[in-house]
Amino acid sequence: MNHTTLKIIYTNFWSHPVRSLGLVILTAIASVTLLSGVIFSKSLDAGFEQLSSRMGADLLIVPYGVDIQNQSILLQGDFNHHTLPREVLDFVQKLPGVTAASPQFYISTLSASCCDKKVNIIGFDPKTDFTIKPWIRKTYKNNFIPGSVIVGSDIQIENGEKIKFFDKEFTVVGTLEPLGNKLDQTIFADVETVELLRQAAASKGYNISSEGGPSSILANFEEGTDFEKISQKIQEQFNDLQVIQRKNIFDNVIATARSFKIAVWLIAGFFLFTVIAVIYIAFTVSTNERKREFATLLIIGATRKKLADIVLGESFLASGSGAIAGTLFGAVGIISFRFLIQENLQIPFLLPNISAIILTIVGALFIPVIAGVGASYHIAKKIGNIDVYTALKEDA
Amino acid sequence: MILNGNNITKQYTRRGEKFSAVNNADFFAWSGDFTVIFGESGSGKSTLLNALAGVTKPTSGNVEIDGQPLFSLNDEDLARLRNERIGYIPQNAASLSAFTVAENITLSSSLYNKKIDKEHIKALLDKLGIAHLANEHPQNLSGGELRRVAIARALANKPDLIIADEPTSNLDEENSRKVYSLFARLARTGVAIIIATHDKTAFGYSNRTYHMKSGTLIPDIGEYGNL
Repeated sequence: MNHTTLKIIYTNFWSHPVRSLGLVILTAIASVTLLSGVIFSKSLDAGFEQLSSRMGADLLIVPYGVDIQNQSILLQGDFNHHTLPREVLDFVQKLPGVTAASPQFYISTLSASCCDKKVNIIGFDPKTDFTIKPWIRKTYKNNFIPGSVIVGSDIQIENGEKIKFFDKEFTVVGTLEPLGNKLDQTIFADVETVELLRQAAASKGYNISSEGGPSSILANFEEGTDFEKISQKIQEQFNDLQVIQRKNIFDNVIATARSFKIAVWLIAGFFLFTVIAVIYIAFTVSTNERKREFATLLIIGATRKKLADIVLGESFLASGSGAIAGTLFGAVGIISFRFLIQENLQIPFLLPNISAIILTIVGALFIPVIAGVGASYHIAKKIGNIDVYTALKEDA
Repeated sequence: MILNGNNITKQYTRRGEKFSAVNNADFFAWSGDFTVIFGESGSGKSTLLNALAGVTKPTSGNVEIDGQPLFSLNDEDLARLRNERIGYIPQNAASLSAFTVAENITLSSSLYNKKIDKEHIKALLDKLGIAHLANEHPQNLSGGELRRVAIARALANKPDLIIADEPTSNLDEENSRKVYSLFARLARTGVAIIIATHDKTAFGYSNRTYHMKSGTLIPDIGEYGNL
């Protein structure tokens, strides 16, 4: 394309500012929805993968009253001071077919030196734990020393630095990989450290957890175990608790996430379709109005291909500008607001790795452009076959 | 330059019925010829000129310039030939509204990144009386001014064949005379001029005449010819 062809494209783009900006905005919206749709879906998938490996227990036993409907127990523990009787762990460990059973302690502190808000702590027993340790081992391979803690990825404290609870200092020995949920803002400690914390709180007059019973018990069983029967047995023995099968919890979470994904894809599809329809209509109208201009260009020596290039160039300019604006806006938005999304949706949300993000950005840039240019292709082809005599006669 | 049209037929379909706008027309022009095609509206003059200018492919027959059949050329070569050798002024020529008059006139050069002969363009604008409009946009011009812009654009590339369809429509007597004089001067320098018109003044400048009636081209009608 030479300078004159580019000038024709550019000047025509700006000679219809309302139409052109409308197309740019529409393509930008399509890019934003496409980008956020893909990143949203990938983030949910990544979040679920992490969550699933993190919550690798067949059964979860929690006190009666813990809200399991919104899955907060999975995403952030429950810090409402509910605890289980100590005997439950012994009972579960002796159940037929059990391969592992481990307690967890959820503690919410009133203050910490690191943070403005309350900090949640999850205590676990390194001897029996099978859900937290494998995950923690990715970043911390040593044994736990009482008084040391591992922090979630969003807690900005370096390894070796101290964090203070109730005037007692604890050493940070590791930072975990991001999970994409509230566990990223949680501190993990072994049972002995949790006991030290409880004592420190008690010395300051706070009761941060009732009587040292576990907040939850996670258990794994041999393959083929009848979980209905196991749940029944536990509930016959103890009154005030709930037994949750992993499958049931994940079914709910997955169903919620699937609805979000479908909604986002529908919106992205709608805008993409609208871009195609509007570009087709706008360019049909505009090229019909300009048939005589195109015929004149042909007369003075433009090739038929050049006429088609002008139409395609104009739709490329409109959809390309929109795609760039939309992708930039979408990328900045999704990265800036990911915590807000996590907070409000209450579903695991973990941004995919950088190469996946780049690939998505490239897709969000090119797909609306291809759709836009593709929509004008038929019109460009028609203009390329223009009959000069008819075109000049029309509306003369 | 020799322009030769043989058995040119152009058919269109109107309300499902085929009709011949031009029917087996034979046409011939040399360098320096000033040819006038006279005919009523709808007689097929414009269709014939479109075929001679290489912008509308005839249904049958052929058009040759210096022995080169125009419609056997590919899109690119035909476009370049139109750009370099043919200056065509169609009846309802449009201008590009986003470009100034000067830009519209030099468009045929700038399309192919050719150096613009500013002196030649300036002289053309002066001769056609539109030099003062060089920086105006076409939408601010009258019909007569637009007609003269179209003429200047067709002459900008110094073609050796000029085809003009009603070049003096929308022009007053004085400007019509200017245009014919300009064409006559060009013919004397070896440019072939072909004009389709209702305007009988044109016959005073011509050395070859045709009459077009219901798609049929009749040579050397004599009554108006200056042979």
